[in-house]
Amino acid sequence: MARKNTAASSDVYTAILALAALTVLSTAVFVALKCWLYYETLFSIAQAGR
Amino acid sequence: MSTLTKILAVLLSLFSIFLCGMMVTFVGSTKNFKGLYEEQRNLAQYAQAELAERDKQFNAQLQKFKEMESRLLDEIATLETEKNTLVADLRQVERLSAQYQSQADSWKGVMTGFEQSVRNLQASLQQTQQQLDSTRAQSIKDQKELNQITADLYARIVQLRAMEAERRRLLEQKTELEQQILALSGGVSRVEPVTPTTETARPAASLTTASDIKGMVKDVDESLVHLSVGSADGVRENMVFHITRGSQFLCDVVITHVDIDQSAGVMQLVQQRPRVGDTAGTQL
Repeated sequence: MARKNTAASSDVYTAILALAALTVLSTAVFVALKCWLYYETLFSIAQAGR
Repeated sequence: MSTLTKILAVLLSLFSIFLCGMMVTFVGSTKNFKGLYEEQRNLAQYAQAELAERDKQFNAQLQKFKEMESRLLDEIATLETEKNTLVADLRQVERLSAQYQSQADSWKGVMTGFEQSVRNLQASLQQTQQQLDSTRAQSIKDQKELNQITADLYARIVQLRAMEAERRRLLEQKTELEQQILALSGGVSRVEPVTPTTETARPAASLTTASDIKGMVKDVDESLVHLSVGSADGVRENMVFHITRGSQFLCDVVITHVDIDQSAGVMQLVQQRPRVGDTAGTQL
């Protein structure tokens, strides 16, 4: 059986998906950095310091 | 890849980019609430501590104020008592002032009357003084006339006594002549006259002196001296009294008028004017 090579139908959609993924990643990093700098936690509710 | 898959991929990409934009915008504009909270908490703690300190200071000041209030209340009570006392004193002083003012007004009226009376008295005094001066001048003039009359009287008395002696002598001569006539006619011897013949009569010879009469000067006029002894003590007219003060001779007084208990005379040989109380005696 002959091997079927699948090629991308279009590079434009790949670029759009890559841009979207990079944007989401950047946003996640930015939000995480802000949360860490402000509240020193990422996944819990901020506690009042002593 | 089907067309629907492509549309979904594009939509998903667009929505994710939009959502990411919204998220970044929201998170980027969000403030640090924890920091703000901690800052506010620190401020609250600092304010709490300051409140406690202020509360302590307030209590201390309140205690001081209470002590000061009690002390001031005591002072107020004391001052109130003093004020009441002073008010009572003031009223009393006002009453006294009004009373004294009325007395002063009455005294002022009295003094006005007195001043008028004093002016009238001064006017009458001046008038009386003028009359007194004229009377004194008249008195001096009368005294001079009296002295002259007294001297004339002495001279007349002396002449009268001389004439009396002359009359006696003439009577004795008459008697002698009658006896000589009788003797010539009847042989009777001659009789000598009793009173010797004197050429002139002297007033000093007629003055009589007493042995020991002592008295005092009662009054002194211009030339007359009144003595405290009279006819009851043996004083007679023309007696000479020596006026002395201690051992000092002042003058002689020839008695010209005698009463029962007093006498008066004129001064002679005046060394010093006698005063009331000086000693008068017939012998020094």
